Amino acid sequence: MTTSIMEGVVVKLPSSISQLIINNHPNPNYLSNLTTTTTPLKLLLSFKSSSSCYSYSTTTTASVSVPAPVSLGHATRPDFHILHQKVNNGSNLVYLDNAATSQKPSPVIDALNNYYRSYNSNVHRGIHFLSARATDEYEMARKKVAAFVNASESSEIVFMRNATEAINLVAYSWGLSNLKAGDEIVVTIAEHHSAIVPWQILSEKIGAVLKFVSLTEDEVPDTKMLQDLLSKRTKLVVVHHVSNMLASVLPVKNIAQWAHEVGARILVDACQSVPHMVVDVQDLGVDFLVASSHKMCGPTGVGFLYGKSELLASMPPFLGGGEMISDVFLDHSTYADPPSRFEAGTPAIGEAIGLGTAIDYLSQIGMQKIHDYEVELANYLYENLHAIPGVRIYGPAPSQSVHRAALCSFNVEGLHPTDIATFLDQQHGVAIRSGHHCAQPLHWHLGISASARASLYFYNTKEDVDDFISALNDTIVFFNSFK
Amino acid sequence: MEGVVVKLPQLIINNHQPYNYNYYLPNRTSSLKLLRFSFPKSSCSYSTAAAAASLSVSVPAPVSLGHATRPDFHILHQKVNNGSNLVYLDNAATSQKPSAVIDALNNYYRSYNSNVHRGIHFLSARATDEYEMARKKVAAFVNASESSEIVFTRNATEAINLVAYSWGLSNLKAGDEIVVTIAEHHSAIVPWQILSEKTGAVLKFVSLTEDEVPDTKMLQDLLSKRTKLVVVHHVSNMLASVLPIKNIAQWAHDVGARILVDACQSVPHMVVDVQDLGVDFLVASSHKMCGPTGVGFLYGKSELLASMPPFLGGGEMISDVFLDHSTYADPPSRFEAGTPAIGEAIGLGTAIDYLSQIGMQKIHDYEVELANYLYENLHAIPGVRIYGPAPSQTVHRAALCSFNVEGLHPTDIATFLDQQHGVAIRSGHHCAQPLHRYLGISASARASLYFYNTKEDVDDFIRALNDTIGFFNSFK
Repeated sequence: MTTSIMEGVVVKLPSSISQLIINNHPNPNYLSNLTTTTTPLKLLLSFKSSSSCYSYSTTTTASVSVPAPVSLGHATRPDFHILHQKVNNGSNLVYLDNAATSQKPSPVIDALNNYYRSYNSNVHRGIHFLSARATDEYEMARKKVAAFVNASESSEIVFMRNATEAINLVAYSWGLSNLKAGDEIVVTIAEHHSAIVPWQILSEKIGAVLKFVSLTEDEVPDTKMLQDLLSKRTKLVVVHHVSNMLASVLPVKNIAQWAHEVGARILVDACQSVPHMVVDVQDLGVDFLVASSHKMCGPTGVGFLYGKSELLASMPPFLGGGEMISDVFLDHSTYADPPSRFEAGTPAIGEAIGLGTAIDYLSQIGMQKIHDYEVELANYLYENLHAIPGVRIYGPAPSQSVHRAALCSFNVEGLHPTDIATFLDQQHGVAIRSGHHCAQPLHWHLGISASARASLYFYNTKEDVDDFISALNDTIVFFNSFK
Repeated sequence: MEGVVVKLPQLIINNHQPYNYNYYLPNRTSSLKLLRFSFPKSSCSYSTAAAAASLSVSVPAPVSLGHATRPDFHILHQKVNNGSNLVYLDNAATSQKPSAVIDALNNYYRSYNSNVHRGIHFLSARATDEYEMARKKVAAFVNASESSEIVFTRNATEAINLVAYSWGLSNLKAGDEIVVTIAEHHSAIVPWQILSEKTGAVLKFVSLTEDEVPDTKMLQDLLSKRTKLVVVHHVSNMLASVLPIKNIAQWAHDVGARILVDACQSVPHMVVDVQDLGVDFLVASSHKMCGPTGVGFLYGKSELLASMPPFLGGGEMISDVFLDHSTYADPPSRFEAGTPAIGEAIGLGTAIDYLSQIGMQKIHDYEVELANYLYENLHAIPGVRIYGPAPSQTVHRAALCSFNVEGLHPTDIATFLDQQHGVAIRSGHHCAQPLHRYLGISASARASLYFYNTKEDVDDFIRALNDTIGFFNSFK
């Protein structure tokens, strides 16, 4: 079911007519339930032309319709305490930096609280009451992550600090033991630094070669070029699912097939997709997938790697230490099965449990519903931003076939993105980000050094976009006044 | 130290402000009035002969640190299993968190959660400030010379791996030696085994003396020009022994080797001064020192960190990213790839505030008393074998005892203690298999205390253990 956002008009009716409508409406609380998304009531009043008094004919007709649902943004905002504050010069906070990190709903913060106040204990191999409970909740969180991305087993989920560490795990463990000099790793020019630098480090160590896919004229990664780059020498394809700057979505299922056809593996950076849409690793057919908790309503300090069972089972350890071993002798050790093999030392127990609660929260809304709402928001943001003279938005234009993520990286002619972001923040409480967004190669490819970026999440509303647009217009006027 | 609370009749204290006897700080003494009544022989009334009661006011002993701090730890006040009060004695595995720390986490997520570094807006600036303030607090806590000598990691284990992969891979070659003790935690052994496989370096193990402490004489004998790194615990999580780090650091430096100290069991419990100790690397975990899970740190001397290549690559740790190569940030950013555990680091900072407010010397002194009390009472039980050195004037044990009971399996002991008595201890190898094998055992039980434990906790444990032993022996 999609949630559509419609403007509402509240009509103040003469009390006698209101009463008439209330009495006849199936829901007696109708008027009190009216929000800004109610559909207007149509009234036809006919007045007699007598000037001494007016009377109204009882032929007035009132059409009563079922009000439109409240937008997902309006419905969920109350769960996010942090959004309800004033910043700087007393402006209401308008938080549009979700691609950098997301806010956390009360249930997630409560879950963290509850862990530390009630059952904090070290996990695994503990016998006592608290330890057993902490272990159960921690492993339950793993199951939740597995179910969320439709992994076939929970042991295919390895908890890490963040997606960056997860990619490094694959590079150091799978990469070092499977790649050799001359092997090729295909990545796109739009990758986040975390999906580029670990492979540069790996390449230095073993002599593998990075091949970069550039953009089409529509400013999306050139999938034709990607296919052309694939060969028997390709051992790994590393791509984002959704670009944190272009807002474009890659056809990961197809790319996975092309990779497998040449005998290569595929790793997907799902940081900007898992929080915003249905991601099904089995359907996509990916070998590795990474994401970060803090971008999907969960705490900082935890993220995960999804890896196919047989792959993880073949991989040597990365970090060594307690928990990831089976036996430790003086001259060697034997190692645990995945996922423990890749989880050395005490994990981020409370944080993983918090991530599990975030997944509960998101699942309760429904990822399809979140996605559909964000597509609308994305279009609304793009249209309004695009309409401002001098604004240049990066990535593809939205269309029937091209869905953009709910973010826009942009520049304004003659203005520096840092100035834009600073003014928006200080004068209007609007929080966006400016810089290279951990995508320097992409910026250089586009011929720029930095951009501004507004990025939304399901708790944002069209009003947030309106506030941003009016603040941006004010910003542009301010800076232009100096010219 | 025990405190005595006397409930006074209202008559006497009519001019005295009502005093909250339930909670007060150990360094504030309360005035308890000791009363001696003399009553006239008349039975139907007492007269103002009460005025003849002599009041001697003495300053009572302060309440123990454990009693004073327990109220800060909500988790300790619960019943478990069969309705027993929880007696939490598993602090070497992880510590509990005072309300102040949980509140700090709460406050971060509810008020200013935002990504750090390079962010311009209000929330981002605040989150960045608090995160970097936490780094400063950690630096001050261990007396690092600069906050950039503190690298945030997930835990001590990751910190050791960072040194192994970064410093180790670029400084060790085939034939080089790494000296460790047989008592090290797996996290201080396995990374070097992995490194040895890659580089051909050799691990040398220091065994124990008869007193069951690492043999520092043997350690010195093992040091040579081939030694590149010495890896030792400060306090042993099983033997409860304390190594003379300052001396070991000097011996290591004398042969041109570096020293890495696993301070997981010391930083939470005593003053640790990295400059005074002279160590090159030191690691610890937040969750063992009243802080959240998910964060720990590496201390490394500036010049060392500056010389080390990156470990994890990605966002935040770079300076510039080109297609064919990247340039890297200075430490500590060089070693902090991706979004850090922001809230958790801030929580660790608050834990450090909390500990500092008590004072690490005060915590240590209290724990030495607890350690002795635990050891004496445990030692007195027939059939109990405690590992590590006996405490003495010169030998201070940490407030933990790993032990076995003749004829009983430690798992059975721990299970019964938990299920029948709500006493939480740990059983197993405590991430120290080589040590257990050396001692000729496969597992042990371990009770480990922290400053919020009390002598009553020890009493409960001893009583419960006696009951446990009685129970199992009844089958023989």
